[in-house]
Amino acid sequence: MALVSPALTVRLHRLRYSLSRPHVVIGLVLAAVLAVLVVAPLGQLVATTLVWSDEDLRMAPDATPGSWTAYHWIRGFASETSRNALYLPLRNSLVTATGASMAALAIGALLAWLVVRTDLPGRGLLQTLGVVPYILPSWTIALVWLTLFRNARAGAGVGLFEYLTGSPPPDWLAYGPVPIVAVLGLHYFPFTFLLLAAAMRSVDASLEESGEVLGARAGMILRRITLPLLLPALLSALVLTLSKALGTFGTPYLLGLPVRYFTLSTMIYSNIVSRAAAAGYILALLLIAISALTVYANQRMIGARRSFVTITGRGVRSRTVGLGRWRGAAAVFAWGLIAISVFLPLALLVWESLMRYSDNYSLGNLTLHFWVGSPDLAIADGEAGILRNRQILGAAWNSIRLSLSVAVLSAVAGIAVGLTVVKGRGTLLAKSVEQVSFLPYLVPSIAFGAIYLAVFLRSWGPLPALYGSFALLVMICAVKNLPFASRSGIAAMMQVSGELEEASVVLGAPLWLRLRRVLAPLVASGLLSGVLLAFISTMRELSLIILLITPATRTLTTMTFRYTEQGAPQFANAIIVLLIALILAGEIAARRLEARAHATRRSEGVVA
Amino acid sequence: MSPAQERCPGGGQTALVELRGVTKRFGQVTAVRDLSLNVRAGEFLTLLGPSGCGKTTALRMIAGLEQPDEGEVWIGGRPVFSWEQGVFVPSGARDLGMVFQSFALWPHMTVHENVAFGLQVRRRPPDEIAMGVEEVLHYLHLEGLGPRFPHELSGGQQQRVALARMLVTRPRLFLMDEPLSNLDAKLRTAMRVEVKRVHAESEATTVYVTHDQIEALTMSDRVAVMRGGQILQIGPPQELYEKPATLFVADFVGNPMINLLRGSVRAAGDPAGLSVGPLVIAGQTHLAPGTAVVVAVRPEDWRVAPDGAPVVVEQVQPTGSDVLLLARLDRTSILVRVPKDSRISPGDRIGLAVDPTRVNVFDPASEQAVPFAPGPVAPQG
Repeated sequence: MALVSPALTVRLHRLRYSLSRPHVVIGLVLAAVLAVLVVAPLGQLVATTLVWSDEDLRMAPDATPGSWTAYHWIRGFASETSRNALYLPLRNSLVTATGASMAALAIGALLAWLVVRTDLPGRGLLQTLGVVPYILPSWTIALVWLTLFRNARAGAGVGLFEYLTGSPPPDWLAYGPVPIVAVLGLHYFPFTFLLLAAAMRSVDASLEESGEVLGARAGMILRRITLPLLLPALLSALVLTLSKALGTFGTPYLLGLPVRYFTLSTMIYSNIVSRAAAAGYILALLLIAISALTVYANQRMIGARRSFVTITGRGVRSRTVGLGRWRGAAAVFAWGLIAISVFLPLALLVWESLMRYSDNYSLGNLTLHFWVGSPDLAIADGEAGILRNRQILGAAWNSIRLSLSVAVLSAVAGIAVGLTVVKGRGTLLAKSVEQVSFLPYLVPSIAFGAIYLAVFLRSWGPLPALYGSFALLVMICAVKNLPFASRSGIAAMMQVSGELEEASVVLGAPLWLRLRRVLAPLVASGLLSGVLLAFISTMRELSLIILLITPATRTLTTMTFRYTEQGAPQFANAIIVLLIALILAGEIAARRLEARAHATRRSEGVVA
Repeated sequence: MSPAQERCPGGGQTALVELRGVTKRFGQVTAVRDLSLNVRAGEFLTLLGPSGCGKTTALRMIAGLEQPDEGEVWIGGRPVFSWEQGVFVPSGARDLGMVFQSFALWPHMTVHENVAFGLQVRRRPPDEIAMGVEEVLHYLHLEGLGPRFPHELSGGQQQRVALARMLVTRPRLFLMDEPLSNLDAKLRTAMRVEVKRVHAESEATTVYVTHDQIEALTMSDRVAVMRGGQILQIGPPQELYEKPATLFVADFVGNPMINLLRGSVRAAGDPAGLSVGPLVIAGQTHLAPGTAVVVAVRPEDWRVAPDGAPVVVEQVQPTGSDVLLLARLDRTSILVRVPKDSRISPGDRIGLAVDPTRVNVFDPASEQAVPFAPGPVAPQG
């Protein structure tokens, strides 16, 4: 080895050693996959907005397709069409997303406080039911709103309000920003509720009691002790809701379109279906920028505070406040909230799916036709009831296999990211994998769909043209879900790597054996909730896939959407009810599985 | 000369484990700094030091759970880790067993499954596994607990299962990382005996990490005191206790703590010795008269003597076996251990003397021990 210097030899040995470690190899594979599925598409999207395309010849006859241009950006931001095509939708997006987030925050925080810290009757049940609105597809409540307040504009028969009162509801109540904010607020409050309830439980009563012993009054304790402790949870709930509300498509489309109230997300959609893709992509980039800005602001604000929420093994004691004479009012609020966000929607959806004519709410108008009827030309252009309709059953099968594939992929990705990040802590590879797997969080769903449309319409790099394939749907849903999958993967790995895993390393178990016998069984229950989340959110996914769906790959969500557009609310509602039933079945199956795993293993967490 | 035959300096026995100039950094922090250590075959060696001194990192590098940035690790006369030679023997192939601070028992496996794992990894036949597990469970008084899950066991039983898991593959090297720190005080004493028995009845070598100097002194053949990623002193427990090489070792080893007193070398005209306020300790040093020194006196090395240096007793703490006095010598607080039948009360004025052969002298600047030849007990000035 005289020709090779000692320093170089050491370097080669270091490289060889790194490549012999399984988590480094997994990390490298992961990094390559992420580069292809996340980083490159973002670059591609930007590039598309800077290049003339064939479609542009309609508007700019002297363009050379394929060459660089700033035309789209100038047209987007500084032309006579900018106001209607960009600035108004931008304002509308900000208004509805902010309004919805504030509403969700207020409702969720109040409910969390009532459930965790007071003597409200039925707290246990409220805890469970408070999550349900989020399990429902995001535009369910929008459909219910239409059922209630639809007027002649929608062209599908009048709503319950007009049926009962005889007078049509005003447009501002039926469509536009008011219903969008109300509906999104009711859909998104569970985030705040869940995050804040958990944070409130982790605040030990002694922290507040120490303030009390020092003579602080209730208001001061709230302001100086409780709120600062809850602030990180509150802010992350706000950011989560904001970015979800900015990227959501179904609700603003259903409630905004009849009065031509566009948000960025619906504008992206209409741009892309009207073959002005570059304009749509610019809006998508704008949406990403706003979303990234909120996340960045959140991290700046929370900063070191994140470390406040301390998880110790000790039991945490909570203080319960007696509501006294406010108990009745609080109960009405809490149960009323559940009634209008859970029970009323479900009841109305079921009821409307049973109505022969869509503007007659009487008992005599009920029929099972839209569920099990055979084709009858007198009703709904001769379409069969959903349980006999091949197209819909096919879509149901698509939804199920899509969600299951995404759930499995999420579990695998979660473990892979967890291994890479936790075992390679501090290395550049681990850091970049962690950061990139978080990127999809910043990209609102509709914009993400737009990116994949831009990239996969043609064959791209090593990949064939995937547009129209089922695999593309699986890919986009799995990637969009990656931030959550990798979070739960990292958390689960953190909990079990360390000494529990090292004990098996010392005994000489190779990685696959450690995964199978030690890591997988221990992370299973932690990962299960992540997998379930992936399943549920894919089942009810619309915004992400609406731009990528072709007749062969329809899912239940896109079917309801189509029927609503066509003015056949009974079909739309019946499908939603079917979808909800499938989601609940999935959820129950997962819980059963978890309970059984617990029963056989009898493991009670990690014994330290 | 092959390293297998290499002799340890002063030891004369074969080294089973060697760290050769090992350095390990975590980001900006250097956990272990150019550390060299020989562990002799069959000995019980303890790495002792406060948290953050690098003792656990050193142990984990022997185990193969961390890799050094520089230097080599040798086990059994062969390199198991070396960047220069490109040798990376994985942990599982180093023929060692380890007990972790948290015990690290797998909560989803029974005691039997936990212990059997190592044999299963080695693909032993099922009947041999069953016998091996039974035997080691019996040896550690865990008969009948095989079907239990770890959370159904007491802390002491969990500790024994961790030992059983280490023993079952019969490794030649035991590594233990603060194995007793999760037990309560009473159980800890009992488990000390158990760990020592396991070591003595096997032919294995043990490297034991602890911050508890009682554990280190009671169990070890040799103790290495560490600070700042380096070994300050290595030797038999008694040597560390009686002849600490640095102020840190003197201070860290021993409970109740040693008295560190500021003094000086007596002036040329006086009888040779050291002065600590009114206290005089006879003997010779190579230091110039008037040089400042630190004199270390163990609490049990004081002798109540009417003609000794005058002190005022401030507190009396009976420990049961003897009595600890907190007293004031000149302006310094000192700890004094006296027999339990001493009738001394707070406020009493007593005289104290110290045997010059029992003191250690240090240079306050370098914190290193200074040679001191004790002289006859001088009369008090």
